[in-house]
Amino acid sequence: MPIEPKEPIWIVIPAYNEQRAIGDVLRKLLQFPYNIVVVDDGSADKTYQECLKFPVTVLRHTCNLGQGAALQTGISYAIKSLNTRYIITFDSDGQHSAEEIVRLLEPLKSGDYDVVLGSRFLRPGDAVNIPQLKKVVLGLATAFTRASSGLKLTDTHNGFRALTVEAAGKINIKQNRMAHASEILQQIATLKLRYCEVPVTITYTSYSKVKGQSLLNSVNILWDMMRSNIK
Amino acid sequence: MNLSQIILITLVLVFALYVFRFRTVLRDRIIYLSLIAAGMTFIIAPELSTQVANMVGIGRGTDLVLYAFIMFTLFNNVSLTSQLKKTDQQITALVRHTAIAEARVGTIQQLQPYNSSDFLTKEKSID
Repeated sequence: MPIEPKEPIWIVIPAYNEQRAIGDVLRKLLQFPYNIVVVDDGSADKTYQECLKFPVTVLRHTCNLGQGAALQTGISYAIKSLNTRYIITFDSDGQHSAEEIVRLLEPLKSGDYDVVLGSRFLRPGDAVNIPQLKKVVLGLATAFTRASSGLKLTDTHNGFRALTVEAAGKINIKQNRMAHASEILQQIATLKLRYCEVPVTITYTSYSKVKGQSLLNSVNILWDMMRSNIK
Repeated sequence: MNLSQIILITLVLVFALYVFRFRTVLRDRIIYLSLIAAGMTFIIAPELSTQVANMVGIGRGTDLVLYAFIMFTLFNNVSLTSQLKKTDQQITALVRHTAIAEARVGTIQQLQPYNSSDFLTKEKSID
């Protein structure tokens, strides 16, 4: 394992029952000089123990709250850390590739953007082995989010993002479960943060397909969004 | 469309507006109390429900009471959901606090601490 000074960059990884995949994800990420914080969202398996085998910070939710809550916990932690400049959100199931973090950071480092969002639909062939039905539902979700937030995006439900620490401090994820993806975009629009999209590859493996969102879950997302509007 | 249908649909829309815009705990309680008062009035004067029902074009008083009951159930459901939402937020804050306070760093890191380990000890002492 290379020991070198870390860059002021934190990778935030929410993980729920990922003991099989998280080790490989961390091994790849640790080839880069980034700080890593994994938030174990009350997993029932050995995700927590698995993460502690690596030189990364591990936080554990006592009970399962949802991906949105885990992201916010990791972001809150990273913000409080000394000298943090940039925060990356990264999936724990191996769908994202560590080499692409550099490309997400570029627009932030230029100072022109506050938030960089990964998109699997900007470049043909980036969504590797995407199931056809998933493509349709993601298209609908994107159309919905574009209409409701006014952001011009091609992929609204991508967990691969980069934020400046200032932008991360302004965003407050209140949607504990999956509706946080739309919520983050909503806040980007409301806070008038400068955003752009960068093409990223998403690899659909048999593992991530099983672990990923079932399509019917979009009903849950809409429900959560409604519920959060109750005064 | 008769009068009762217009009234009922308006009521549902007003209810939705109330739920998403104007809800407060105090207003909830005022509505609860008025509903209890109305319920007691109908118990004391059962024929009154039929009279009111006929006025708006509903045949039987029982039907009016049924509609009121459905609205009450919805209203109650919303109150509970809202309370549950608050409890959820409190649990989230609590779990998040514990998670951050009990941050651990994996084994290899303990042999080779990096610059943010200062932060870890500092944060524990603050909290």
